[in-house]
Amino acid sequence: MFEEKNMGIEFKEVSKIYHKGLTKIEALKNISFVINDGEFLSINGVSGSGKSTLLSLVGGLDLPTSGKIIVNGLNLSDFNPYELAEYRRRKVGFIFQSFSLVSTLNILENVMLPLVPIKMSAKKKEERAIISIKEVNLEGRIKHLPGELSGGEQQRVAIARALVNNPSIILADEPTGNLDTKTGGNIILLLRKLNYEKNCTAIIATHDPKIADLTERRIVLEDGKLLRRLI
Amino acid sequence: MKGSILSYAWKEISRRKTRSLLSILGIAFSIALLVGVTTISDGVRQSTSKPLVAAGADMVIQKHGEPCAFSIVKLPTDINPMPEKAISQIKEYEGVDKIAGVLELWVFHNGRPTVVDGLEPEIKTIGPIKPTTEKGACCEIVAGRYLSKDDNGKNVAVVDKDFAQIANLQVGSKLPLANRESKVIGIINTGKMARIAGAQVFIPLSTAQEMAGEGKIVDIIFIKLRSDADPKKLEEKIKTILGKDVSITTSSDFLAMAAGLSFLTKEMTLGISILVIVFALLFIIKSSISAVDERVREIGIMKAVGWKDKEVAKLIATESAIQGVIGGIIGCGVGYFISWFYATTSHLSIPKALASYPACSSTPAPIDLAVSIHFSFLLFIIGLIAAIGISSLAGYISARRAVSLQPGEALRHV
Repeated sequence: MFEEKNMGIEFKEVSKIYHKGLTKIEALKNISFVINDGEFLSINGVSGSGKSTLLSLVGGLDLPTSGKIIVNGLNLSDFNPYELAEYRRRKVGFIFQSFSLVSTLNILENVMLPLVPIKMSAKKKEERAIISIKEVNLEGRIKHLPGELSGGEQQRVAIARALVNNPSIILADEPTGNLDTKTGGNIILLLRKLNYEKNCTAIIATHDPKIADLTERRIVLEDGKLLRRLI
Repeated sequence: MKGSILSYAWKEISRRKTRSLLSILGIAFSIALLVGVTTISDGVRQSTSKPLVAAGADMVIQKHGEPCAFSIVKLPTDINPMPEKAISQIKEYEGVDKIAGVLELWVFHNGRPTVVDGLEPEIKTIGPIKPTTEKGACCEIVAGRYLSKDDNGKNVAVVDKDFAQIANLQVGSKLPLANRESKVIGIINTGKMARIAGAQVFIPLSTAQEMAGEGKIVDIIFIKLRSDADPKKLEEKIKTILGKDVSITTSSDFLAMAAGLSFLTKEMTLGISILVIVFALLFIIKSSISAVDERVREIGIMKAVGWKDKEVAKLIATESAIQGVIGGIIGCGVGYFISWFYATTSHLSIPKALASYPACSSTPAPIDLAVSIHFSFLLFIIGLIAAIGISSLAGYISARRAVSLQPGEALRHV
């Protein structure tokens, strides 16, 4: 189902509505656009504009209320939960603003987390995790717990975890939101480098226009609507 | 194992020490109670059944009444005589396999009491003692010989080994009993443990009846039933012969009489155990669900990085199963320790009416029941299975809850 390394992503009139109690929240309103293979793209907008929702839909964490998200020619809405999990496992790497590391696991174990349920020898899992950790230059910290690392280092661990399955799409939700400007800039540069070297699509959701400026292309969202596309 | 769900589950248990410990303790507590209550009740039941087994009887019959006036030969306190002919009447009932009458007496000489049993010399398989020449066995004839048919009516006695030591008696010694002297013909080792109608001196029944001077009487009757006998019918017959006030002790009510532990019936034990397990189950389910609720964020991350529902469920179930195994082993260990502690500190005894000694007797009454605790591999396995069952059920419920979390929903907790 997901044999090709790179996959184009197409949003076709996608809407997403959440219900919070009796309140109806329209997170995305009928948006359509295309993301090309290997693109380094940012989704820019203020808080509540629908950036995270958009990433959740691309990553198969949620399904659209209406419209289609076509990845590699396949409509994600047609996938069952098992296929969506398989899609996330094999093709998607997530990076979150709050790093989302498991505090009780050390760095090596956190990076190995996506590999735990996979049938693969323990040695191979560890080798793959160490390769990912080396790519973010944290090989000296593999036995440390997340709490013993700085914010920038924790985000690099999250990037290593996102890379460990060799994904085609990296989805980063405010990856610099909890970091200072310099560290944030370095994280974006690291993502750019990995996007280039691994030829994977990287989509970065950010409210910060300066961070968005560091990407190849910018999509701006406002109130769930596609405001404009900037090159 | 490294990098597997099992190793991940183990890490979670070892790192979330407080919650894991609470769950394990909950399981261990319930299993300890299950094992402890079952083992102790089995031990008590076994130990209280020993005196009847040792007597080779299923029933013991006595008549209780007002204490009789003091004389140098008297029946024990509260014990009333029964006519010896009642034995042959009871024996007519087809369900009776063996029967023996004993006349237990307190005999005073120079103010010192001696507990004397009058026994039918020919009956050796039912009654207070089963004489044997087997080395080390209970009631071994350690010197001389046992009573024989020819001893009926004679002043001969077989004495208990401990009593012989205290009274400085040997085979051939003269033992003053009331106003006569009996010749010691044998010394018998009756052991230290509880014995129904245990005594210091054993003489022919006819001699004892002559000594009591109340005719052909007995005060304890031992009955062994056939396997197809109906005890209820026999009890009715005995009451017809000996009167409604007769006291009949059977193996089924011996436990309550002997140990005052009537609550420890099998049904009660089972009831307590089930109640404990239900409470433990509720506690552990609550604990497991709380653990899942605390881990919504973590479960969201797992799902985001590609864990499937069944893999998340497997992790939660594995954690529960590990806790179950640990809790089960600890619980079994603690349960057996509690049982052992109870066995070594408890002081159970048979009712005094069944082994009646005067307060100032030279040797202690053989009324102490030793509670022996036996390790049961079956109970250990049942305890372990119950522990794993409890934790698996709790794990299943909490895993369902974990699986029902939508990844996007769970990640909004991030």
